[in-house]
Amino acid sequence: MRETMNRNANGMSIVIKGVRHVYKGNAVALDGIDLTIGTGLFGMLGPNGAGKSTLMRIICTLLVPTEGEVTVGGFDVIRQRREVRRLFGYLPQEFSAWRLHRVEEVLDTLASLSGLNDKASRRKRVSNVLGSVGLEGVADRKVKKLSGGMVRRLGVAQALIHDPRILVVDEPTVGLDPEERLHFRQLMTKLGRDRIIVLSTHIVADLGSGCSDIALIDRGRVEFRGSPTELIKRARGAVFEIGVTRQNEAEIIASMEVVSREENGRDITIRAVSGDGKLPAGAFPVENSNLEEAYLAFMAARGRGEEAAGKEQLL
Amino acid sequence: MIHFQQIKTIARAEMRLTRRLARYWIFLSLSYLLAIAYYLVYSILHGSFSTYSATVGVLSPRFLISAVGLYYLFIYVVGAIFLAFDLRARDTRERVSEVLDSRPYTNLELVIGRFIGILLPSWIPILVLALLLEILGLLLVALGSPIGDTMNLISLFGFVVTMALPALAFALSVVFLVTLMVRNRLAAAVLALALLGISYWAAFYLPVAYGKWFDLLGYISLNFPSEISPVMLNLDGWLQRLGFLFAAFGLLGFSAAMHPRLDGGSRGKLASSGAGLIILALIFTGIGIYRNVSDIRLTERWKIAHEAANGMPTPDLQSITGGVTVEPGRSLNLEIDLTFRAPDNKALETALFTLNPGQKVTEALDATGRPLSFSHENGLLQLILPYPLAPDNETTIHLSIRGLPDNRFAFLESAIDPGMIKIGSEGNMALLGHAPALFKSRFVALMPALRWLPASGPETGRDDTRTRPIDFFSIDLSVDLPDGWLAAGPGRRHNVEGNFKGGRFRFSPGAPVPKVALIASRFESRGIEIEGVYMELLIHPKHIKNIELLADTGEKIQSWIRERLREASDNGLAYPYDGLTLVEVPSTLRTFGGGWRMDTVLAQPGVMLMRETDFPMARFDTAFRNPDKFKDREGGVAQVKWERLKTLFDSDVSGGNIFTGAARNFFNYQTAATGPGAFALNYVMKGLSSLLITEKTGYFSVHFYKDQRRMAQAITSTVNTYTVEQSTFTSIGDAAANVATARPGVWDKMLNVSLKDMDPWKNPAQMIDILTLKGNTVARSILDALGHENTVRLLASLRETHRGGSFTVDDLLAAGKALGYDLNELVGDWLGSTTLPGFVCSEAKAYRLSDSADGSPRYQLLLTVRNDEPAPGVFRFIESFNSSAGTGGRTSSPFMVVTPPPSKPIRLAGKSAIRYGKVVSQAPWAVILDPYLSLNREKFNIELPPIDPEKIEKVDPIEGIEEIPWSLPKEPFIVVDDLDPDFQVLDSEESKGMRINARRNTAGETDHGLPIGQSAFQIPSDWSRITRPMSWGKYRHTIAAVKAGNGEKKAVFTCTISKAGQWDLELYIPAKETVFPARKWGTWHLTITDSNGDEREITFDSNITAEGWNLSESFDLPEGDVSVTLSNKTDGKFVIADAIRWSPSAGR
Repeated sequence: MRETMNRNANGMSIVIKGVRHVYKGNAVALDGIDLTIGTGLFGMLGPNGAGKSTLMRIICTLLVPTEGEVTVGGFDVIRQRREVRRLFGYLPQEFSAWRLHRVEEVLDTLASLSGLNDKASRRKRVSNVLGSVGLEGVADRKVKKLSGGMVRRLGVAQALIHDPRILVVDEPTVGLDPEERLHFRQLMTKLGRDRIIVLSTHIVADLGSGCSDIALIDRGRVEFRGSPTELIKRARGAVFEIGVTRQNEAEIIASMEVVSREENGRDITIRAVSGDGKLPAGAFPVENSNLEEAYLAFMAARGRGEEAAGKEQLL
Repeated sequence: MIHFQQIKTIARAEMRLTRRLARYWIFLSLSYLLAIAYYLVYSILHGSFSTYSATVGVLSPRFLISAVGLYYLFIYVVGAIFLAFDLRARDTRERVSEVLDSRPYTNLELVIGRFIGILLPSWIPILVLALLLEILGLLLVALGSPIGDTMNLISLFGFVVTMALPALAFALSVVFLVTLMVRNRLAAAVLALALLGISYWAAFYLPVAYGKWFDLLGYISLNFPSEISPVMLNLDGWLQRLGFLFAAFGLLGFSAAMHPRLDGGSRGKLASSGAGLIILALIFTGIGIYRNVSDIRLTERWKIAHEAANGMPTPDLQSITGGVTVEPGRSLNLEIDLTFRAPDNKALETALFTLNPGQKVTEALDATGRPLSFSHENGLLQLILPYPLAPDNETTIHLSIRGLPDNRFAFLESAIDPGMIKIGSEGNMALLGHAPALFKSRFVALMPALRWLPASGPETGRDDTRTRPIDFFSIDLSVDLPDGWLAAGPGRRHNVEGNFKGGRFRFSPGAPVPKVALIASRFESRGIEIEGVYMELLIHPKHIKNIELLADTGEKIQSWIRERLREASDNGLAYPYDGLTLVEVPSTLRTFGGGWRMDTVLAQPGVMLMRETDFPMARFDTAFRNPDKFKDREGGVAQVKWERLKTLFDSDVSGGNIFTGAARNFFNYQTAATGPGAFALNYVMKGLSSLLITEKTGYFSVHFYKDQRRMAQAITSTVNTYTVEQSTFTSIGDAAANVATARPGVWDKMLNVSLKDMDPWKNPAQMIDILTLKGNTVARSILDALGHENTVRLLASLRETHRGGSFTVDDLLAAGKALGYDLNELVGDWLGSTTLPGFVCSEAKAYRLSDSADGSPRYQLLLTVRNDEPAPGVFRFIESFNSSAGTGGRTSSPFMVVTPPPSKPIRLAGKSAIRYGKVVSQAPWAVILDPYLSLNREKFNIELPPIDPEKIEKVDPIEGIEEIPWSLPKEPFIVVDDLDPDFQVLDSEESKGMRINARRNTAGETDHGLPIGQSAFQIPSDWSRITRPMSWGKYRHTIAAVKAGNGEKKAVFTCTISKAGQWDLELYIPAKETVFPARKWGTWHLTITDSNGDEREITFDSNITAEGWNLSESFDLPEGDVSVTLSNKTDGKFVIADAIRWSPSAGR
């Protein structure tokens, strides 16, 4: 009890030390991760396959790391799983629910499993959460009749149902429409004020304005840890604009990581990042780069621009 | 620590999911439909037939929930597999597993929650079904429905709780574990089904003593319900059901340990807890098996001890007197005096008795009151006499005996060990009850086989009456019972007045008994004295409905009994005891005894036991719900009821036929045969006394129940007779006896070994059937030959001379001689010989005579019958006449045919012939010769020539039976039939060459050495014998038939050609439609081999043949043996070999 009080007094945190995870066939998913995550929205960026989900699953007690140690709120994720599980809500990358259950039944069941034993307060909580994710109109609809976006919102709702101290969300906005994404970002920002939110994504925009701490993970390693501003700063000089014509566009963009493209009559303005800091002829650096460009620039500098951008473009 | 809230939540979610699965409702509907259908079928069967046969009583829906539930449960257990087989896969498929896995519950809570979540939706419908059936029963009863009844509550509870719960729990836990071990859900389902299948096979097809431990559904463990002595499960049953339940929990523990979800708990702890529970389950099962094995060893030890004592001089028990104090369920105390005699050729130094090893002799005193040394081990009570008891002298000792008899001691020797039967194929035997005796708080049945009273000599060998005569003794026992209890025992129950704690009764029947049964409970009593004999009915208070319903038959019953008693008494065969009690017993009480015969135990001296499912539960209310229907019948409703009551008991094949049972008191319980042929002699005397006293024969064989195929045949035959013929009801007893005795294997054995030489232990089932076949016929033949009165006198004389002792076949012959009859001459040497008569009707004439003086038409029926065998025999004619205006003509509508009762039995000596003439007013339509027992095996039609009603023969009428000279007809041709010794079958076996098969007695049943063709539509793949009435034959009409092949299976007809020359070969072809309907006939291949060894191969086109003899070819043959070989090579579907005929070509 004393230990718990000390932990509370010290504030809630997730501490990851030297975590390494190797899948069958010697596929290294994590290769020595060290992180300490405190209250607030923590963004975990990285291309697909970088190891983000593996790390999330380790934090959520679903996977035992090959090496290293993880504590959540002071509880070890291997030896004190039950205590850790009480602390967080988890929205996995792929989520659905029992097709034959109604929405409110799913939430009621998961709330009860998360420790909300009192029926009346559970009902109230279900109602509130449904409202907060905009599903109050489909409370008695069976899951099999929900749209993809609704299922995703249900995922968010189930993660929040027991008002957890820690929220772990993995690629949360996949399948959401722009409005829902916006709503989601606002919700995360709001929730992040008094709890830890670990948000893993490869969509930089998902981090939103509430995110003050990010980690860039690639090939199982933390390649950057800091604030978004810091990352943007690092990208200075690597983001540029260049004007091209339709005739030479293909030739010119072949050697660069394009961020955006703007047509203005006959003129086309390409915004791109440079991996090696060298700008092509006719290009001029951009001073006001955003987080997305900074991320791409960072990854491009590591020769991983294509993985970072490719997927982004697809989305 | 287990959090029940988590379990509850998971269970609730799982229940919700289960209930929303389509397959859940499919399985539920299917099982409900099946259960209700079975309930209704049983209800209809019971409602419709329970008054026709006491045997049908076991179909009462009141007791059948476990049988109904078995099917239900089986479907539902299969259903449960498909409900649980993809739990984990479903969560993964529905992408909810990670969210669930990250919740703070343990794997144990998850597994338990899910287990409950599927178990409850599976089990609650069973509870609901039970309630529904109960409500349905209540409604049907309330509405006065002719069918249906409420369920017995104990059995209902047993089904819902002890059958269903462990079965579902275990099946689900197996599926849980399997799905974790085998991730592919279909493979998991297949594996779970395979495990279920193995369990089913083991339970139903291993001997029940072992199989019951695998009986997942609990059907075997659940006792057949009883209302008067209800027991849900015995100790083995509880151990077995608890074993399954603990094993289920253990498997759940393993499932939790093996669950792939990461868990904070220790997998090791879970696995060891699971293992602990499984070990507990194994211990439970082990205790049960150990108990069974110990029982087997113990009874084996007892048996060995008794066998070792065989041959020791045994006392001849003269009387047992004294008192018996019964405290039901608690104690049994005996204070008795035994009077016994030393054998007439040997002094007795010790007196050896059998006394149940569960009882303890606390004191033994000699006639002077001095203590006697004694030992009582393994059920052998050996009393050291103070001085040797001189031959033929008698003495009395006093014994104080305390303690409860051990049921395991009953039936030390038994042809069938009930523990070794297979429920799947022999399970009907369980319908005959299992408890050798009962000593419960509600019911006491102290059966003789328990040896609760001392019996002289060791237990083994007691049933071999050839060497060990039955020991008859007199009895005078007072029985103390609690207040309100009544007892049934030998003879009349006398109330003893006095100041006792409860009731005291005395049984002193006034004539010797061979054994004593004492039945006690809180009965309702109805009694009346008829001809000095007190007739009493003791019945459970809940079951008096039928007594009230049949109250109007009282007069009829009394008058029938009075007539029987008076008639027997007038001829010197008076009922020997002072009373006869019919007492109700629980269905759990075993109805069959031990020894080779395993005879009914329901017929005891002076008391008949009646199972609660029989008369007490029969639906007389249904049968007579419209009494107006019967009021126009002769004798009115009361007569119909009485007839129905007689049918009920007469059609009891479970040992409760009170007619045959009660008849035993007159003779078989007073004296019995010993020496060679004693079994057969006793059987015949039993049949005779039964025929004389009650005019019934009856049939009881445990093997009939054990052989479910035979039982099904008998039921089908009974139902067919009832539904097809409608006019008469063939009792299931007759049908059972017919099915048993018509089997060719029985005939083959009977024709090979005499009754005197037969060892009953070699094939007890066959022995019973042979005794039924031959013994009943001999009894009937004696009765027919001597007449009713003289036969009664014969039995009375034997009884008078040998009462309380035994007699031999010579004594019987002497008794017959004293009455002026030579029984050997009358019925032949039926004990020592295997010969039988064989009847042939050599001539049948029917023609019109001149009209009678009053102008009525007259017809002459003239039949010549030969008995071509040396053994004498008896037959009857069953004649039918065309009643259509007396003009005759055999082409008239068969609906105008009338069949009067059969002729009187006609006895025909060996190798003799008679001419039977009868003048009748209607044209003879058909005549059937019905032999009692002959090589003909069954009755046969006698072909009558067509009658020309216009043609009047001017001859004198011939009336009566005339003996005529016997001679065999002289035929110019040689016929070889498939039943002749000169017919044989050859099978080629590549490694062994050709082998003669025709006389080989295969493991399966044979007819005259060949396998028996089973069906009219199924062509046998080996040469088999098939009975076809239209085929050739002297006494019987059979063919040998085989499926088309390559010529490797051959049938050979051999005969001797007396004179060289041209001979014609003909083949007999029966009416084609009677052989294999709709199957293609073809060209057959024959090889003719003459005495020179010359072979000629020919073909025979069976397609173009007609019914009868068909010429094949002519051959120039030398004198000597000639064989005709018919192979199975054909372009048709089969080849048949019926008969061949050689005739000189010149003579045609």
